[in-house]
Amino acid sequence: MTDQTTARHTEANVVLRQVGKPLERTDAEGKATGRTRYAGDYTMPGMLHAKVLRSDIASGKLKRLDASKARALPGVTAILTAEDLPDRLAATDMPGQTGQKRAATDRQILVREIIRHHGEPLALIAAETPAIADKAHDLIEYEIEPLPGVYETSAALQAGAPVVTEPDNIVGEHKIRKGDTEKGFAEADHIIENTFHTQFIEHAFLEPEVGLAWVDENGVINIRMSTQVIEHFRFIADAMGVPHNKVRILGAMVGGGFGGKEDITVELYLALLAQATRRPVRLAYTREDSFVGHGKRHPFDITHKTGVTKDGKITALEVTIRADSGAYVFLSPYVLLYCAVAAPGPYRIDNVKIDSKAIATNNMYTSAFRGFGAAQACVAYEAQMDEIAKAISIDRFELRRHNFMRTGDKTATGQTVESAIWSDKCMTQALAALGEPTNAEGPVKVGRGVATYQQSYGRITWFHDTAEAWVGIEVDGTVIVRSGVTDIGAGQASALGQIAAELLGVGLDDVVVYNSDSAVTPLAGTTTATRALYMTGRAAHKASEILRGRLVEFAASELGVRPEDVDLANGQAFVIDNPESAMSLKDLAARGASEGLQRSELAMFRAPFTDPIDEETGQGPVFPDFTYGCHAVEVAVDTETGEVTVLKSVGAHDIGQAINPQAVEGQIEGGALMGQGYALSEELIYQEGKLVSPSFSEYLIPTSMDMPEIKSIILESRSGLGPFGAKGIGEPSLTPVAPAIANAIADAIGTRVFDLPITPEKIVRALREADENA
Amino acid sequence: MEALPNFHLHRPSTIEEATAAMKAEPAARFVAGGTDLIVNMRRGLVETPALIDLNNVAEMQDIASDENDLIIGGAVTLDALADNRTVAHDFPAIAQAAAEVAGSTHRNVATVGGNLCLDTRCIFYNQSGWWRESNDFCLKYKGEICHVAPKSKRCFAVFSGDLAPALLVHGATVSIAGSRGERQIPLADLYRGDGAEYLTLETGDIVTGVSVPKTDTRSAYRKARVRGAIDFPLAGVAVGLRITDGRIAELRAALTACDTKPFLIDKLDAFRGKSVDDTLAQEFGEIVRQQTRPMRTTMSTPWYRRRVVARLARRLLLELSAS
Repeated sequence: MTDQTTARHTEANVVLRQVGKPLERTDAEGKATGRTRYAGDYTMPGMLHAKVLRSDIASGKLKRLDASKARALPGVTAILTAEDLPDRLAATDMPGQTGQKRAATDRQILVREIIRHHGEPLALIAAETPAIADKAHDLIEYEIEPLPGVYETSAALQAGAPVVTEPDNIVGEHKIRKGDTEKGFAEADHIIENTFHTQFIEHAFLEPEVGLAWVDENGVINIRMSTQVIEHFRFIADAMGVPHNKVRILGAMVGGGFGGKEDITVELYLALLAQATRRPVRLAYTREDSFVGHGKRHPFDITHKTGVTKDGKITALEVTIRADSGAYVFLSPYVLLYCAVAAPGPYRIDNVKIDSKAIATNNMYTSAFRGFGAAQACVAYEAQMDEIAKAISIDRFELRRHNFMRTGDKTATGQTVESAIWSDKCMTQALAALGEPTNAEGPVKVGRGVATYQQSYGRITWFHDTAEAWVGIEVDGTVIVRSGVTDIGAGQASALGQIAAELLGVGLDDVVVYNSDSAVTPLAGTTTATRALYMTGRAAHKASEILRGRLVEFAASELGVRPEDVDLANGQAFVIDNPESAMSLKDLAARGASEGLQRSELAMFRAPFTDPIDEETGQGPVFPDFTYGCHAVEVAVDTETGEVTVLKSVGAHDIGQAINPQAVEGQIEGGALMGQGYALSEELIYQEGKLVSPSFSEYLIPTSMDMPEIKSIILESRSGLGPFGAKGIGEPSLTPVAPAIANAIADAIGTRVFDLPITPEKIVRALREADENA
Repeated sequence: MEALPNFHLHRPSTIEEATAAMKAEPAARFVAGGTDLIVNMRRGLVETPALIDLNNVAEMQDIASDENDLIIGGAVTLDALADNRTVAHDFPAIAQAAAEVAGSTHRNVATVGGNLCLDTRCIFYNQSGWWRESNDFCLKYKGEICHVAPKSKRCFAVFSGDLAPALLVHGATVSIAGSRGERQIPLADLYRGDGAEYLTLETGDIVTGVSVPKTDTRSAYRKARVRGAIDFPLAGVAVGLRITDGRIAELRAALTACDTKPFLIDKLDAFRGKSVDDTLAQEFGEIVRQQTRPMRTTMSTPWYRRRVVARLARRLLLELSAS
């Protein structure tokens, strides 16, 4: 599909031919026809089937593990226990860092003695068939002595509490100090304090963790798998004790990630079994394996104490944050940092004091999840805004307008935001899109709520993040892009094609994108932190632009004009003022090739690099930039049964520049659904650390019957750091949804449920309490 | 979810063939939609060498009427039941209950007989073998202890079928074919009141159909649940009401998901002869609440389930009296 626009620039604006259009994504046809191959679709001759034996209690000591009966079972090829993996540990630090010192948080690969969470792996099994692997699983004998565990963060901080993580169960702490909160509270007419609680939730991707590993003829361990992070090959190599170039991770199209495939999942088990058996090994998690096998979203307790003048100016904010990091550290310190930095919301507050702690328990470990602490922060700060408005009797939207940050303002950590802050515009448009209020009858009450937010895109800037992409033009004028980026379903690969097509004057149909291979495609970093489009997109943009320059220069000499007179579009190089004077890209590439023109470019994009923030004050830049927007909803609440129906759901986000608006809508709609589940029904219930809801009959994700039509409003300030001024939307689309729903429910029933999820039962209880207090 | 174990599949085309197949292989299980049984087989809750598929049994396929009764075949799908005009018009609670079961893909195959014989449920039972084994299983299957009520000798797994309460308020009887020939029993007598051995059926018995007397009872069914589809009821209530000269001639209510069996609410005769108003509806709701004693078998608390079922009952009565 190509655009016939001839002029590249107008005075008013950039003219884009490929970017900004809802082109059919490169992955669309394969998915629609079922031809796309996911990691679980790959098989190899002679392949073995793996299974993981897990602890069925959360805190204990492994007294005995006897695999002799299982090993004797015909068809069992290997059983690995901790004894077979002496001194080996697995990294749990932020993946894909380049050159930073790794945090000393490595964990045991298999339980040697102490069991710290329900589901912790005890043994790995490889067998000729899945049924034999199942049988071997049941034949492994073990004896676990239960140990006292700790399952609440408050209990974990008490003297004498069981120590899950040395020395004191505190795995992360961050402070932010700005201005003088004492002075700020003294200036306030009202001080409002509330505590908000969020729950454990599950990523619930369609595709449970799966992979296939084999050792090739060069002794390289190859792992084809479903992951957000092919850079884990380094951690795998370290854990295996082999050089980094002896492990290769090949991604496949991923059936959902949401942060749940950011940490190591099946790849280390696969590598160990492939190395031990020297045969291809496949490991596919069951849904239950997935529920008990990967980290969850952190539950948070967040207390806001806000000072505000009678006309609604916020003068001071103190926030206390506690997160349950579960039994291993993983990304908790970073998630905590995101929460602390996000805690003031998109508001300009001169006096801020934030204290945060992540605390170890014997619950399942918690780690990355779309929104990464900033989503939990928004649940608190946007509910607090409505509570402030209610307490001082001013309009909740005006309260927000009064306090929104504007471009050039500084965050609580002192970072100046240079991109557009269109919070007000987004909120106004989202509210308008809700239309006329729905009428309520009888016990059913209707309410509305919004949530605005500030959510980073791109990694913490002291990680010194980089991404690479390679772009080349074939002698027939078709284009190839290579980049390591993993495509987790949002169109990460297709977007690179669209960017290259824009700059090289071809259609998206003329581009093929190769991605997600740690040995063959240039490494682009993780598909996490809303960074894939920003980072990889800029790398592809940079490579394409350099290549474009060469092509334009060559064409100019062929056409006898200056390079600035030449544009590329519709598969042609042409003279801007005389489009008749043109040559096809095919001829151009072929002529260039014969003249030795370099027809490819490998480019690296570097995000802003900074030093870490000050430990005592938290002052300094933390992120490259932020996305701003608003989600607005209208709900109906049955006050007798507590049932909530979301009637209208609107996301309005300034994403800088949509590369593919249809893909952006996909993110906004997916975020609306995921946030609705977070708000209303999803919760992992742990009893003594044991997950009692490891299936979709008890873990309730919204169904199509629960979702209203979702309206997506895309605003484009073109002020972001991404390609063509794009910001990020992956996480931001989710972040405001749950607090918007919570606010709408509070608006409907006149009282608030402070704990997510807001179940029918909690609504009925809150109404009863409000009645009793009245 | 674990892999589906191997089994033999028999596909009889008459009730006689079906019972003969069971006689030949007494450890077999009958299956129709399989939406409950197959899931439980994969979880190791049902171990059987053979399944006898009732979907081809001709006598169990129809919804028919005679002079006095509506007759629903045991293999009629819930979709077919919900879509049947006569049922929707004359027995609305039954159509509503059928339409409320699970999701549309389930209802497309799940059957009337299957929903009446639905296995009882509990958060300690509907789990994988690995999970249940870590609790030393439970009283319902393979274990010694009920984790919901550890001192109990009785299993409290809850019956969650949606159809049963709707059929109970319409006074339905079930037809059973088995080794002792055919018999008819009131629907309430199908259930024993024990979560483990929850049906009164003997080995080889088939629920071949349901007969519902034609009356001028107005009826309605509602279930409390978190989502708009798929969920089992946290509590479900059917109300049947006959009005003569503006006064209650008969009032019935039946519950599901509140006990090990579906059951009719007692002590409603006192309402006979009265006219329905807010006060009466409130009293009615309170009687329902008092007779509801759910146990902690779901993620929702008994407190909520009792409360909501009373509110729903009250609301249904007011709606029915206004219609």
